[in-house]
Amino acid sequence: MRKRAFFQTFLLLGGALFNGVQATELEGELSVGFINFDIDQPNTVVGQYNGVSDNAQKLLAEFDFNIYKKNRYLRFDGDNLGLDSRQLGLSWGEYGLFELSFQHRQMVAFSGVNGLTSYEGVGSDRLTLPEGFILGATPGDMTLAEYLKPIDLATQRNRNRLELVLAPSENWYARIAFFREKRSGSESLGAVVGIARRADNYPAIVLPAPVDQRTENIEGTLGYQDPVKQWELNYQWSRFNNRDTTLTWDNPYNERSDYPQQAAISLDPDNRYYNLGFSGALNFAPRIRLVIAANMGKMRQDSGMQAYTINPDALITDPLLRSATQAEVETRRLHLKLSGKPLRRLSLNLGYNYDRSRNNTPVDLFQRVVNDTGEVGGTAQSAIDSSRANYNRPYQQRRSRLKLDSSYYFGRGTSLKIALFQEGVERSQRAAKMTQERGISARFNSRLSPQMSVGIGLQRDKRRYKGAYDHSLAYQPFYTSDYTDTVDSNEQFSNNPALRQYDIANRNRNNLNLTLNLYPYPDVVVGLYHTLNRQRYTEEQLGLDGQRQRVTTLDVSYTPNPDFTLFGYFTREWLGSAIDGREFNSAGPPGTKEVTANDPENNWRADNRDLLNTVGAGSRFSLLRGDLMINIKAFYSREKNAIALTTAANLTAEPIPDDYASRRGVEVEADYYINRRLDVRLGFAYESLRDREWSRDLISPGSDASEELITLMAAEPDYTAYIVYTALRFKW
Amino acid sequence: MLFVLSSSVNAEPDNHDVGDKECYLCHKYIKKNTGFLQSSHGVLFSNTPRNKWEARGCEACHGEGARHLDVAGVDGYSGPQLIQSFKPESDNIESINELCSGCHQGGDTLHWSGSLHQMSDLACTSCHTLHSKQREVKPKVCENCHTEIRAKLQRSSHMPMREGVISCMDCHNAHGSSTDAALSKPSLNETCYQCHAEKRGPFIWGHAPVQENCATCHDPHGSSHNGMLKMRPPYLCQSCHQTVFHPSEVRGGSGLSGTSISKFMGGKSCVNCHSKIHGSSHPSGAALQR
Repeated sequence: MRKRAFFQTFLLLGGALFNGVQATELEGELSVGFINFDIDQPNTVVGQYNGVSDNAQKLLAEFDFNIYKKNRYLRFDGDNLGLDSRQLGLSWGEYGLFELSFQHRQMVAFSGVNGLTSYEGVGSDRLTLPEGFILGATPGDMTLAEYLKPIDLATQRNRNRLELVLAPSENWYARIAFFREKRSGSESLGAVVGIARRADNYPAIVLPAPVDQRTENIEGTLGYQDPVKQWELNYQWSRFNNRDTTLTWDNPYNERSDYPQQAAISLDPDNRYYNLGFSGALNFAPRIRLVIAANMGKMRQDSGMQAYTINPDALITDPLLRSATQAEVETRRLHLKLSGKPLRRLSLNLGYNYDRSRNNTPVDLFQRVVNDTGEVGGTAQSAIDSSRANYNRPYQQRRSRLKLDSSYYFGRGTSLKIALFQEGVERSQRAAKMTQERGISARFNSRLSPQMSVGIGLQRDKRRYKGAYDHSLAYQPFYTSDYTDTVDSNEQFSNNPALRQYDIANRNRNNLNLTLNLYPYPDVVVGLYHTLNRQRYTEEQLGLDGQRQRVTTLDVSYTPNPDFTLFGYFTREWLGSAIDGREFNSAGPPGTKEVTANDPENNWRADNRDLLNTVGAGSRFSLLRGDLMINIKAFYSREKNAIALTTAANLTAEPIPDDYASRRGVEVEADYYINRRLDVRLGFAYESLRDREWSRDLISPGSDASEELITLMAAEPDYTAYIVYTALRFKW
Repeated sequence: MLFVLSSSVNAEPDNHDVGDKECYLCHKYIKKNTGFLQSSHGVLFSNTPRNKWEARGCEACHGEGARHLDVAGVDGYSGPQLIQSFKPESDNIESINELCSGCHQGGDTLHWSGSLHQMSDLACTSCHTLHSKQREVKPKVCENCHTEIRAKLQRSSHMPMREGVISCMDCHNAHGSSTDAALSKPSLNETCYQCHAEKRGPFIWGHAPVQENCATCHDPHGSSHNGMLKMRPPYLCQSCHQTVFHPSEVRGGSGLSGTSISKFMGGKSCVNCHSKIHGSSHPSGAALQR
């Protein structure tokens, strides 16, 4: 009865929108079913993005209703109804004239770990320890385990989007879209008490932070097009609001008397953003086209300034120099592209990109009250010549890039492409003021025969910084001159002077790409792809030394007829990187920092190796003269991470265990067509995950595995899940 | 879909046009099984044409049908079918794309000329099924060529693509854009901010590589490390931060047997304490701890 009423309502709505149209054509499908999840233990990975974390039975529905009459339509569709990630859409329009649409999307995301905490008030901005909780110097001394309870570390987004598109003529169009998204739930957030440089013990705790955020977004477009020119004017405005500005938490650690009883950490502040853009294209001649895109934007974050500390024992005598954050970044971007075909077989593109961000955030001197921790004597006020009197230094950068692409087509599927680019980036507050990168790439593709095509691509680029790599550029502006005057000129550095930060370091990068496609029979396709990336940081310094990536993929498919497909694939990825480090300290007589920073006997090296294999196969075929469709898929993936450490004479390091994760699964679906309009689906899926991750598995809240860290993470997320579903689908 | 330029191509009907009815006599499948007549192409070209070009129906795109009728289905004939095919072959890609861009030059396709896909010899019909009423291109279409991305999406830390929650088109415009990676927004960070507006800031205490490029630390398609990080912390952080005392110290397996695990290694590693890694606006947030 309710279903009939629903259909009647939909048809009535359709009739109203079609303004008295007599014979509307109704077309669509409705699928209603049942799904059963059988999971061997509660787990948030199996349904990380659909909200299922334990054994569950759910009704599942999908539908797609359409009403057509001539060039008008009304659509109403829904996906994954019954799961926590789902969507509904409604659109009404006339082809070539307008479309008004509404979409509701709900997306859930588990953090992928099972949460455990002793705190009360989870989900709010105030976390309190339960009555009777005994504080301790280490987690083992506390009554942590006694009060642990599971929590959901998950967020949910609800986004409602409304859009109107108009095309009043063949030349003009306009679009306006608005969405509002609410994101709510809890997520993990690290926090710490203590002062690192004064005592060894500055313990950390991972907290369940509240998420209660709103984002609103408006986008508008006005466009024009004719065969010669096309242009668009775009505007975007966006506002982000966080209902919670600070998370205040009871401190369970009590080793030192100056630890705060409560501490506070800021949460993501409100912000605003707008962007005004223009893009246009002009066809000069039949084969020459100029494209211009320019836009200017502003990001602003102007929340009320929070207090230095909530600890009454950490007294600050200097007031804050401003009451609001006043952080602002302006962006300017320009893109020009001239593309053309000077010869029938030759394509050329010349592109230029300019990108600048200017940071208008005022610079002030701030006191650094470390982690709400007080000082002996009851003050946290730092003198002007202290390392804890810091200037904020707004970061800004300017980038320009020139690129030339060319392609020559020899015929019969054979082509050669060559590209050149040059990029320059200027940055503030970085050890390298400017970097310049140049590169060349070439690719040759050929259809050697009807049974074979090959492709080979090569790319090489070099990045170099201009001038000296000067650590004082990043060090001195951060501190007051009163402080830096107290520091020996040879020790005015934060990072080891031998370190090169990898996003601005000198680098050579090479890439090789090979493609082989075989068509041994008309119904068989074999593809073999191999990529080798290599990045080498050319100076013998500390930091990232190099990175390598090798990826090989084999794809095979067999399709003797449209009703039978068999496919398989295998991908093997190998990633390697190496980091060189050097321990140094200043615990000793003057000059210790400089001496230890230059002592190669303090060197260490970490070699990272990731090995990832993914294999899959499947088939789709029909039986019973096409009335029964069978879909089978199977996959297996395994990833392994290994880190090898080597140290020089002054250091020792114990080996690190390997991490690995393997996931395997099988899906079988049978779809039986009872008649042209009605079919029934029956499906089964099996999925299993085995995951070893030492940074998570070895520490559980409540244990004394770590003296200086309380985490939120509990059971390891291994699971075996069996999913059975059935659905009846009706088409009309 | 609404933004088409039907006046950009020759609007005069050809003398050898035969009309849609003749086409459907043989191509029944397109009429009955693909939903073509409910698609934008089907409605505008076969039902309610707005101009002479669209009034040509099937022949507006496929060309005149008369000569095709002479040879199609004739026993023993194996020569050309004398009609514009949209099945991408090595030698007809340019003609397919020129036909499509006759109408589709503005809006999302404004940057097509000279784009990565255009320069890679892709035809519009390499991805689009012209007779289908389905409007979205599903990720599976992209994965056919981007096999490395397909593998990344299988990693333990990944975008919710294999679950069908988002699609490639939420971040990319496959027709090209002003960015090298064909992003739908003017920069990588602004693309990420579409869903992660809380990371936008700007902050009093910024983190320069974060403000410049999210992909400095994250692999946006998937990774075997938590948080889609490119490398495991603390080593990722130590690639750029080796300051006096703990940031420069070697972090080994001490305590990983479960006895006394260092906070630098367990849990969130460096982010256990420096949790405002994307930036802080707390007046005492210089070390990105508050």
